[in-house]
Amino acid sequence: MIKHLIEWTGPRRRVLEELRFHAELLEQEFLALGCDRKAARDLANRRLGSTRKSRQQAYRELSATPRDLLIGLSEQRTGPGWLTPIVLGICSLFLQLLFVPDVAMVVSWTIWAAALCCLIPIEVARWSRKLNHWRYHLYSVTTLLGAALLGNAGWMALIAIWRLPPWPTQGCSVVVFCADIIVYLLGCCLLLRVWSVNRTGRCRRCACPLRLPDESGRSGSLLIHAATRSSICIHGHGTLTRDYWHSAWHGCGAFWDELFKPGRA
Amino acid sequence: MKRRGQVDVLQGTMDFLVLRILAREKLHGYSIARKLAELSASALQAEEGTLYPCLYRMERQGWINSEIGQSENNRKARYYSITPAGRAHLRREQTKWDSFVKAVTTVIAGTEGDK
Repeated sequence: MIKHLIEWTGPRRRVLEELRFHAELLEQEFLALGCDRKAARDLANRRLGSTRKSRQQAYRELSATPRDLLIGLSEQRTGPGWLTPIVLGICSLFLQLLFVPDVAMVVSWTIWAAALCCLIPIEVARWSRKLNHWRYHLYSVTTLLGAALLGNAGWMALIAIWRLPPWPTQGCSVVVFCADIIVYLLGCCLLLRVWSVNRTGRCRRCACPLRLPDESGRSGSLLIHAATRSSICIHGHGTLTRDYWHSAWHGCGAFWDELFKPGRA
Repeated sequence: MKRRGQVDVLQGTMDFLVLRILAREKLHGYSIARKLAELSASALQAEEGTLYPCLYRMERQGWINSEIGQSENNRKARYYSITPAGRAHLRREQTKWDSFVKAVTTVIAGTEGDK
């Protein structure tokens, strides 16, 4: 990641340095022709046109725009998606600990605030794309909020334990507090993992758990005839197919409505 | 900024032209742009936003080298020089360009009577 960051800043620095030098030499040329400094600068600017535009063009050609950095960084990522809120949470936790005196208050909402800020917009965006999946996304958001509340309740319990006995030394108190934080972080990871697995295994239409798993393919194979697990919604809304690489939902449309249509024998 | 009568360097020919210029002497970016305009009687213009990325890319490919030197206005400047790999690439590009020009000239000559 750091290597990518250096590769991104290198061409930007070089282009900036060269364009500055280019403008300076042009200005010197006009000064040599007898112009005063201001007129020389104006003429150089006029000759060069918009330096911002040149810079942007150069960055685009060298794939050094901020967008390229984001794409590059996301390509470097190897961890699962749910790790991002955790990492963000931990970073913001340490940042807030530097400034806010009440440690317990800082820790309590930090991780969950990050998780909610990252995951709820994703859910809402998916929701707006597939309107008939609103129950599923509402379920996801609600359970995420529930997990946040549960996580915070756990943290409050841990803090109560920490504040309960008079610790013999200051060091002892710090060790217990650090242990509390570790337990809390592990708990948060576990809760988010459970949330993620639970929502994946639910019907995208009615949010009921998927049933009747059917396995096919070879368990040792990853590419050809890979092990695939299909589960169906018992209300007939669709099938979820999961293999090692990804999961795909195939909706069944309205065949159930068709079956119970009035007047059908 | 482009002036009247000036044309942008054809896409794909910038590397070739810059290598041709650098094959003669070691220059900094500004001088390369000036030289290009001078040799083409101000007909060709290398845009700053294209020239510097091109130099950077060619350096990454190993066709040119760059080193910091003192410029004519006593300022630190980056001087570019061609490498043996750059000379070999230049020879290949020169051959390609010659056959391209020959082919286009033949087509023009062959269709001269159609006008």
